Amino acid sequence: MLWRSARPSLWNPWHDLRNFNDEISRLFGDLGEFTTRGEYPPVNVWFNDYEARFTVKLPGVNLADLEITANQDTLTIKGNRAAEVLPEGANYLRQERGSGSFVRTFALPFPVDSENVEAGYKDGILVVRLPKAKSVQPRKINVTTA
Amino acid sequence: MTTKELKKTEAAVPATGRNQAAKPVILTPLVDIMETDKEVILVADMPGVNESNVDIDLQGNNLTIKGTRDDKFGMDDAQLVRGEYRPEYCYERQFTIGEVIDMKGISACMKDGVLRLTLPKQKELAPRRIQVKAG
Repeated sequence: MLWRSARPSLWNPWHDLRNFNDEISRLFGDLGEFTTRGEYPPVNVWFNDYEARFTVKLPGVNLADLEITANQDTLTIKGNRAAEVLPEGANYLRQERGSGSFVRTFALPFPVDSENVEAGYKDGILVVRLPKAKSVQPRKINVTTA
Repeated sequence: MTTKELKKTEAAVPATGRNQAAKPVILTPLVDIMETDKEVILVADMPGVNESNVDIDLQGNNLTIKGTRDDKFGMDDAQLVRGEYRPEYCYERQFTIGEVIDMKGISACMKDGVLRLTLPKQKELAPRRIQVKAG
């Protein structure tokens, strides 16, 4: 996982250095709720031959406040995390959880079949599955006798 | 050495590299703690944890909340290409409570990866006046 550059054509030593820094931070000091660059929410991206899968750590968000858009090769996750409603007469002894709106956009290296994008939310983890467009999926070619 | 013995030896050698199950990292859940006259409310973010694998323990003044996850969200068939958080993690945090809590009245609920714990304060004993007699 360490020296992997997403786009070798755009190679930039500073970019690699920053990635390295991110990797080290991720290995030794997991912030958990934010990315090392302070973005919210943190996302893990998984690829296989047929789809891209995003798993997003996003606890306590109402589905109505979540908006996911897939367009060709971009995915946008937009949402709002409602602030805690303080019961009457209560006061905070400690307040660490954040609230507010967030948006993140990701560019994928292939076009997606946007009609079949699925998203599920369970136990505070959002999973978005983006199947690759048919044209970029691996296709088995049958060999016939000529 | 027979095949059986060989298998036995193989099993005894600890798995290394990729085969070794990664030890999940322990994260500290972020919490809000609120207090009213009657109760203390603790809200903790523990994404990925559900009601069946959260563990709450109160011993004396020490409250421990723990959350584990037993699934990897079916990620065995795909490769991680961008990782902003470790896929395998668990939560643990300890608190010291200053108030006297009514142990029997504690209630907890878990929704969308958020734990909500209500700790009712023990009803204060009615103030008692002590008469001093001249002796």
